[in-house]
Amino acid sequence: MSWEMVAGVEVHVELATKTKVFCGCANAFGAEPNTFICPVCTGMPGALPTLNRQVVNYALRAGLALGCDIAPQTAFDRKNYFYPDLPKAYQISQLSLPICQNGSLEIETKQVTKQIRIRQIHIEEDTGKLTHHPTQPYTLVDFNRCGVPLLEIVSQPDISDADEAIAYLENLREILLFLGVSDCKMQEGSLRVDLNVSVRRQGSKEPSVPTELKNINSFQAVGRAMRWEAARQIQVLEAGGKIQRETRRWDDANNRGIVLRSKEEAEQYRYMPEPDLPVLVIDHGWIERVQRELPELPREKRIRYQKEMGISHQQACTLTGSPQMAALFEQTAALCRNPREAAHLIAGEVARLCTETATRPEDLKVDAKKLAALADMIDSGRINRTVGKEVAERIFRLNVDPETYVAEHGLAMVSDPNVVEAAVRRVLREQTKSVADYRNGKERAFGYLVGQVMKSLKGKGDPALVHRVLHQLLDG
Amino acid sequence: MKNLESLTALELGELIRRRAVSCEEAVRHCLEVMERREPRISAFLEISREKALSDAKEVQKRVDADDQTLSPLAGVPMALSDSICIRDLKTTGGSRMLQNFHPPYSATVWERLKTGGAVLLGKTALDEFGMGVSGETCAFGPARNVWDNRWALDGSVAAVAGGEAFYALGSDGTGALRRSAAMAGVSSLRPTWGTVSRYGVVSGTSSLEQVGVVGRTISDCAQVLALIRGRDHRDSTTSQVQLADERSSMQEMKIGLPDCYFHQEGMDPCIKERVLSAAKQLEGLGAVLFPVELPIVDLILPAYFAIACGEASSNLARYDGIRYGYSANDVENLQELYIQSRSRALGNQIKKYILLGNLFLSEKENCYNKALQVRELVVQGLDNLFDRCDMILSPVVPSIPLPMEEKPSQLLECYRQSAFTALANLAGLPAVTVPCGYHSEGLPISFQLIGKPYGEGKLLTVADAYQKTDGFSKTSGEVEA
Repeated sequence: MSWEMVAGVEVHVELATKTKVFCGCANAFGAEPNTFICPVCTGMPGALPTLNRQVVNYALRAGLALGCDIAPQTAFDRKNYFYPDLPKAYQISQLSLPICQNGSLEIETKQVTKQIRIRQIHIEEDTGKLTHHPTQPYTLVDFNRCGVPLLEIVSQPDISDADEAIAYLENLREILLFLGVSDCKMQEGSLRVDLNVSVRRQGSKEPSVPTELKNINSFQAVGRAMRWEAARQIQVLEAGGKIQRETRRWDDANNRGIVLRSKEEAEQYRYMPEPDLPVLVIDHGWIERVQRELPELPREKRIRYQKEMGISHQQACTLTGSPQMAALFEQTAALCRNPREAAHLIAGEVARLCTETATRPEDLKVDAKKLAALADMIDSGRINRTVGKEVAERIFRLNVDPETYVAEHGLAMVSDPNVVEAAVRRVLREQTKSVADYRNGKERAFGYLVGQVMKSLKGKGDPALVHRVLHQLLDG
Repeated sequence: MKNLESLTALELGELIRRRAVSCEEAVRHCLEVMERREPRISAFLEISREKALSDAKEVQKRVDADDQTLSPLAGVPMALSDSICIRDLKTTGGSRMLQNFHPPYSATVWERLKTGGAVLLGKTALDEFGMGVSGETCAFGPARNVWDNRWALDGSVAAVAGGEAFYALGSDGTGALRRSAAMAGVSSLRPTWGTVSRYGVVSGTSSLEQVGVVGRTISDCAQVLALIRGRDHRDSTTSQVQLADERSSMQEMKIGLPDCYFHQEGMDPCIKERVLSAAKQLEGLGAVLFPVELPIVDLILPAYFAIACGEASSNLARYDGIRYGYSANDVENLQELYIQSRSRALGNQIKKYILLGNLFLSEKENCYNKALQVRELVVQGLDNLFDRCDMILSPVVPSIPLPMEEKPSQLLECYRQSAFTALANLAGLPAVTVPCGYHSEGLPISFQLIGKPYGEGKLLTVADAYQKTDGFSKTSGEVEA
């Protein structure tokens, strides 16, 4: 009898608020150690937390976008444990009254389309960062990250294979990015993934005891870790063994999960309600305000681009590759006559150039006005597409003005029938072999002749006109 | 120099405002009293002699310039418990753990007082992190009662009782402030939880503690409260509720006497007699007294104690020897750093609180959460009770605590002595203590009034009316070393 996987995913995302969750310190990555700290986030005696309302707004955004119920009253709890990166010796989190519950996220893999239920989303604070000295017996601690707001998004164990987990994570990441609540960078730790993996016999209701897997550094590693852990559990069970409740650290380089702690050593967190923060009441007005300001999600954008603008599914996907790309497209489309021309330029040229130059979405700085002007020049036939691509690259790299560039370089499309005809006749005279091939039924020779004509027109010929004249003179 | 010793804070403030007494004279008076009495009562951990004199001169300039931002207590020398942080001034919380701690911030209560022209004499002793019967667990030695120095006191109480300071602030987390005040013949006020900011006050038991005021009279305490209370953006548990300032009339004031307290086993007959006779006097002033039952009274003390231990264990876990405070520097690894720093720098009593707190918070015991449920029930029960009466009158302690040297088990003594003070801590209620006589052993006795949330106005009305007729309040002059 075969086995199936039963897995849940816990995602921690750092919220991109200006300040930390319980104090006024800047929330920023990469600063000099211990420069964005204060008595509150370093846990000095008598310093008290005050909740950043923007964190609540972001949590509500995520909760509403994921179809969650919003708690009318939400409260904070202390999770008590000693560690040098935790200056108060407790983390303020939410246990008993999380802000959002019972959401879901639709995923699509090659095999299946299904809903993954989301158990809860709660707010908590990040810890500091430890750097162990490689050779000396000491560790440095940086509290800049301490008190950075986190959302923990916990799924139900609805995931049945690695592809589903990856699809879930990709969808979730995309939504959070478009909501503007996090930059979701795994390499900078602003998105972290923990897995709960168990297996069961096909058709059985009772899964094995889940194992927790931590320290997973990429979505691809999520797939590897899940497959490895499921295989390990199946092996143990088939050999008649039992699965222990334990936490493993994923070692991606060696493709294995290393036991961190077993249930016997499980930590006692001595949870208690946080007495320094009052219960937070979230009224209808607040929820409605966030709902009203909820940005359009990528999935909705793709449908709208296809339905209202006649853009292909594939291009719509490329255009929603990042919020910045979608914004550039929407601005350009709004400024030009034909949005499909804008889509061609951005999904084609801009996306390609971003990949080629390894430009990060947040560094994408292309002038929508210039792209729109370029799209209009193509749309109106002032330049052809080939030239359009060249100009797009100049705009991308050098921020040139398309009008000036086309004028200075004489790139306007050659649409004069006499000029085109002269060029065609010249090519037909020179390329006797290709002409003969074409007449003998080799269709491919026609394309070659088009290329030669365009070449003699320095790439600026009106493609439709070139085709027409070539056909007339060859076939007529 | 004029004799200032018999003045209340408000009276001295008035003389300063009228320029009959200078701020500097007031400070010099206090320093002179301290010189005489400190060797015997050790109220202060740190005396800021020079700073007090220079601050007095600054405030005097403001007085001379008729500065309208000055409070009625401007220039009146006062003291702060050493749990209240002042920027760059050593703040120990009464613990070796913080013996060299200089906070980079000031408590909101101090900032508010300073704006009004307060002049600080120094920082006073307290139980280690505020956890004790009445000041005896201070790591640097306890303050002593000016009436009989075999008894320990909270230092802010000792300073006021000894005539060294005209008023003082302390933290009422376990009731030590009220118990100390009760046996030192001074008045004390614990406001409703959330009335006064806790920002910058070293935390022991967050949900039980409030900054309290010690004064020579209840009117002095009321004036100080008016200066420090109110919403603080740095403490989100401070309330928006405005305290009613108006004093009500004594006529028809309804005061409940909790029968169970007066008939409790071990209730000292002398204390009982004095408190009941004070009750009679209040009746004579127009109040209506009648017996009341407290809701689930047997669970109040256990619930209070479970919460106190649980919160102390969590709040004090931050003292790990890493960022500030005592750090064992002769250890091999992290575990040892934690163990040695805490073992060496924390006192025995506080360790018991922490150990019990960890137990009470553990999932298996779950005492802390049960205690929170009890608190809910008590608060609901009190809602009904306070429909029928304006306040509860009781003794402050069931008996005079044992003198310092004779205390068998601090923790049990603390538990026993909290019998009547715990209710205000547990339910977050305002309370005042008012001196009302002497014990046969010679120590003063006080009664306690506990009001409904934000019912400070009525408590002050009753306490003030009693003091104005009784005249017991100005006591410090009567005890001369």
